Amino acid sequence: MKNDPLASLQAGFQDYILGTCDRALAQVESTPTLSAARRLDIYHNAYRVRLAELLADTYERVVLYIGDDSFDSAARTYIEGHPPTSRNLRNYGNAFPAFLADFFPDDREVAELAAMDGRLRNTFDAADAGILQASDLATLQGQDWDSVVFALHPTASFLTFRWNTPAIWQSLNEGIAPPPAELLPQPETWLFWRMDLQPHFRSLASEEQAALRAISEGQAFGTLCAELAQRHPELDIAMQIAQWLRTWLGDSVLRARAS
Amino acid sequence: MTTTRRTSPGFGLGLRTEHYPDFLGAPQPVEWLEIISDNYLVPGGKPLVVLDQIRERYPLAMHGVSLSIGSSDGLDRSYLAALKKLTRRVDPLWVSDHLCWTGVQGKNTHDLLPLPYHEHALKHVVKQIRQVQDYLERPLVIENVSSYVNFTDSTLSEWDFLRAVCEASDCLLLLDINNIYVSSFNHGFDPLTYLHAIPPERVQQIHLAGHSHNGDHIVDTHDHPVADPVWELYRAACRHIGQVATMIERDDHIPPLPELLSELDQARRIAATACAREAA
Repeated sequence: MKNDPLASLQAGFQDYILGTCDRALAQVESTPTLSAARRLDIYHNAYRVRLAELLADTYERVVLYIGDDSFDSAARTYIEGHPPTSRNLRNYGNAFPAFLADFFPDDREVAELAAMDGRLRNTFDAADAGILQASDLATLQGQDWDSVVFALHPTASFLTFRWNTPAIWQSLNEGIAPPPAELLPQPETWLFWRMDLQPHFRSLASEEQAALRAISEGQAFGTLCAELAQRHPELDIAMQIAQWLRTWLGDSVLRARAS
Repeated sequence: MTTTRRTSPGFGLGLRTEHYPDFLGAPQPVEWLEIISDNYLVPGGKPLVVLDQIRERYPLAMHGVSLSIGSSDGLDRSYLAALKKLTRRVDPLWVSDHLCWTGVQGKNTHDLLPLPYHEHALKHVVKQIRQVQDYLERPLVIENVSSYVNFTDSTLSEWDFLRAVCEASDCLLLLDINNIYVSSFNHGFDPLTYLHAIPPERVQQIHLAGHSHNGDHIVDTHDHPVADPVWELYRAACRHIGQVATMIERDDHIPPLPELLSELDQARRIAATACAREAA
């Protein structure tokens, strides 16, 4: 790089923008009205404003929950430690929820709220794939059901909350005062997925969660049913599974099988 | 063989999500639209579905912000592959990006940073534009950026650099009239000197946009209507270039579509008068 004047200039300019070094001052001309520092500061400041706006757009309910000033302070700190490394900004804020857990150690619901906002954004433009239809199952014979392996649609994912975060999110989304943050008696897992091009989410009872996780891990349907029956002898497994399947098919949660 | 520009499709607007319902709901008086390519480099979902629906109704130009054609890091092959995949989906009028760099050493500022204007940078940019054109199998349309600094080791003017890039790489130009005006104020040059140095036959498209005047410098914010001095410079550009695809960019404080269409009508009127006068 020592012999490459372009690489050297670009590294110096970028360092000034990132705030790590000011050797670019010697590379930039001053004008009668603006010093080199003030001219470089236009880029230095615009970088932070641009990324803070991006985070505020992605984590919209976090902004509503903690307020503009508090969010801006968190976002600016995150930006200093997380220069973008990709040409695509889609994943820039992925580490923001974990960062918020450390930034607001006494308000852990803030990080969960960010995780929920981020998950909804990722679900919105997650990969497309065919959706399993009820008619696709019509050809399955009795013995086929044991060996059939279903798969979750690529937009479907799980998120576990320790706080009443979904209730806080929903209030903020409706423009009403959120309930006080409360630690749940047990962590709750919610399903996120996309239907008719829009993200959806709902809570999962532990049995349904176990069934969907087994599907996501590629377990054969027969094994899944047998394990559920063993764990929950009180359930009418056949009826329960039939009911879940109807819901999953209706909600576009399962991926079409390879033909 | 010298690349020649395509015949102007007319007047267009930058497609923004706020106006999706307008463009999908009824025919609008624009001849084409420009998309920000990067907004559609996503795995799936609504953005790509709407893109296909819009494409059925309007010709589209693809405009990128992350090619970083001047970066000393070299080209990003995975970005280029994603861009090429999108060109196959869209079948665009043309593909453009900026004469700038956005980051080095594996980092990305996501800003359109100016280059130093000297022979070494020129050779580097020309080599990379040629590589992109070979890979995309189409001419690249390169846009001049607004800038707030100039470098002590520049040996060429921006317009001489731009013209040299264009001629040596055989690319086309997206001339941003607002950017010429903004940079002329920030660096103290005559915008007409810049404009008249541009080879008219290379100009595929024109951008018009608003800016924010901060007293001692102007920032290219795209959040206001086109300013009067920029309209005047556009009039001069029409005389210099002739009929050329023109569109308005608005990226913040986005108004209802009729407001932008009315602003676009002003561009149509100026172009009609200026080109008629030039032809007479």
